[in-house]
Amino acid sequence: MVKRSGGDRTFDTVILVLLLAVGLFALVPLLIVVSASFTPYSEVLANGGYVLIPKKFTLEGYIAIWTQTRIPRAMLISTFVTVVGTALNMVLSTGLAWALSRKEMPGRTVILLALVFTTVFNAGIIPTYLIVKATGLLNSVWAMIIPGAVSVFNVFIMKTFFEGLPGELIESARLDGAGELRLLARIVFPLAVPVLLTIGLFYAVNNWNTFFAAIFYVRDTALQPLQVVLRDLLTTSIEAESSPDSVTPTVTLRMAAVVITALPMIVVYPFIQKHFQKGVLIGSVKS
Amino acid sequence: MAVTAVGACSGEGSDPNAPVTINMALGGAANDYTPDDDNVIATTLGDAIGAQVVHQHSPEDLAASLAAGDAPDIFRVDRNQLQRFVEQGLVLDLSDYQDQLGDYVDFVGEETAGRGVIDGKLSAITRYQNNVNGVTYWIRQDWLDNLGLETPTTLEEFREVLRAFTEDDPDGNGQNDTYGLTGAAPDPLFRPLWGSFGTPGPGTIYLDESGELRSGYEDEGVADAIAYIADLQTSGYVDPDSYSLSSMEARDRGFQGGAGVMAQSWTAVKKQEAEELAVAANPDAEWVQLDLFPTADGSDGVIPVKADAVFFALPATLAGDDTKVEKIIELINYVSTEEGNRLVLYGVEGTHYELGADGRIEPLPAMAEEGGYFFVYQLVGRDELPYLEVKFPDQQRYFERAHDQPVVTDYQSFITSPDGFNQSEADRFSEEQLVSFLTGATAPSEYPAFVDSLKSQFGYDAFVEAAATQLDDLGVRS
Repeated sequence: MVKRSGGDRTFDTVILVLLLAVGLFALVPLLIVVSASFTPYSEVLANGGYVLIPKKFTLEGYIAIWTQTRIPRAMLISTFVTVVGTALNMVLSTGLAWALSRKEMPGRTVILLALVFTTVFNAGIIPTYLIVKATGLLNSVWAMIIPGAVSVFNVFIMKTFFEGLPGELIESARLDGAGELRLLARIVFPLAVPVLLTIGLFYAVNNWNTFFAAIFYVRDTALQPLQVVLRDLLTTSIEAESSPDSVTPTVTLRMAAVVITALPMIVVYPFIQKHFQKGVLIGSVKS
Repeated sequence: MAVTAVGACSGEGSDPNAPVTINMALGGAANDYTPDDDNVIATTLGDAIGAQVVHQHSPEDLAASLAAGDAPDIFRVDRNQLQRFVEQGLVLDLSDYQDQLGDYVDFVGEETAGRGVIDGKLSAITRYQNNVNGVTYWIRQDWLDNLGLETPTTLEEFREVLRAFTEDDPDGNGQNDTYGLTGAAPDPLFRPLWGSFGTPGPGTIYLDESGELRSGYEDEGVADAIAYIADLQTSGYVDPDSYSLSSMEARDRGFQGGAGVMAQSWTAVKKQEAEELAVAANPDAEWVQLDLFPTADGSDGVIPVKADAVFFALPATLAGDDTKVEKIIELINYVSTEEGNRLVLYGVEGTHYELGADGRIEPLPAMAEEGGYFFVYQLVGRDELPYLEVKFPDQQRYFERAHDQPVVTDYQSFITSPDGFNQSEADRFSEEQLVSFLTGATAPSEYPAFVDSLKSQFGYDAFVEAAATQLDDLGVRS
């Protein structure tokens, strides 16, 4: 190991302190939310509006979530949308991307152009709504899954990755008698783990955060996903603020709801992160 | 989980013998509630009219929902929406049913019922008009006591109290950490002040004492009011964050001890959970209400209240489905009768309340325990004061004090925009300019020039003209 000079070490220390400061900027707001979810709101107010480390501890926010809100049910809905939705996303996207990555695919250019077209133009809210209604998806969990089942952006990332696989590898597999499905399952997928996990994570996060599809197409409150229920908990209309009838959720409950909603994705991230870093580089350099 | 297209659609493929389902989305605060479908109010209402009554949240995009024909059977609109939907043929013309709405008309009054008429057609039912005020200034009595000050009763005294609250360390903690005034600015923070300058404030459309229609922008007193408020701001007596705080955030700042006066509705300060929070955060604080300050010539100050412009319409897709429409009419009438109105206000007699000898409603414990959601069925509204007296007996002196302030009704929300007037653009321009005036960035002498550009460039003149015609048509100005 090369001996480091005093100047090097000072430089490192400065960088470290700077990075710590930047890290704190990101961490403190999160910490305030978590702390507020465990602290009675009156205590927060008495402490000047925020607490970093709760002195008085309460679980009332989390208990209220299970007893007073629609969050437990919304959690099931969101989990369903995320699991089933992501599975469907992956099947459709890999299938499409693989086919489009093969130069011999007939009509490839037309399909590619059609896909690009949808990234530039869309039908608008009301026509899309009419289609969702006409296909019988309105007011069902599928309205949050099917209309956005394929993301063209993700398909293009995958297609680029597949195109980068050595053609010789695929040819030799074919020579050994592998059919299209076996080729995909045995040769392509094992090589594509980083891109599959990355795209899978993109889709999963999107599905977990599904919001617009839910507010437009799902009016049945029993089918609403987490983000919509969270929105209802966090926002209060001006009219409701001054209406004697309305009971606004406590800040403790609101913060607990934010924590509960964000937690699953925060927990998943570290496990996928190493693949994720490899994955986002895909397509950045063309050969 | 199977594909479930829940039949929220109106009148599609319904079995003629099946009981009619009425999906009702009253919006507003009702959107925050999701009572069980078989709750006692819904089932009692249903039994009374022989139909199933279901509470729904308002569709996120009402226009899309109406275009697709799956809107609720009764939905909430404001007057601009109503006008637009009538023009597009999306709402049901109720004119043919006018004769059957007797109980409803008796309850809300003929004039109010007439406000749902667009282009000569009865297009919506109008909620009962209360037009009551809930907002006042709230002041820290304990701070006044600490500093040996009297309750301010004039604008000059008010300014002096705000100065003392800012500069004289009212909480005695030795730190310069307090402001005089906080709240969501410009409204409701300054709402109680305009009246002391002889105007309900810029942006209001109202009738003066002689019954003439006036636009608040053009009142003489506005420039003086602006000068007064800008002076408070530049002197540092107003919480500088006021323009970015929500009303609730400002209230919490007050509860924390950050300011000694705030403009708030009684509900935000004295409803049980608010009161508990205030005490827990700051046990010494004693919040009391201030009356409006008189004008320079000694006459009463006034506070504007928005005319309650809430309408409920039926989708045009119900045309031809007479069974359903008649059930809806029955529902509207039923909640207008004494019996039906009591049900949606107070619950079931014997369970939620007892009827006293003199006809008084005496709440039973179940009303407080279960009654939180009843209001989502108050289709024709309610007479506010008696309702509050029953539901909030402990807060009576606070809402009465607020209601007792002299008010001016602001009809702005009743006016539909004429051609060439873009409400949101005009509002944005006006708000930017007003903030600039109120914070002292622009001199009050520039005010007339601002009103001129609002009229000439943004077509506010046309809006005021339209207001005159429309309020005449509605019978407001008679």
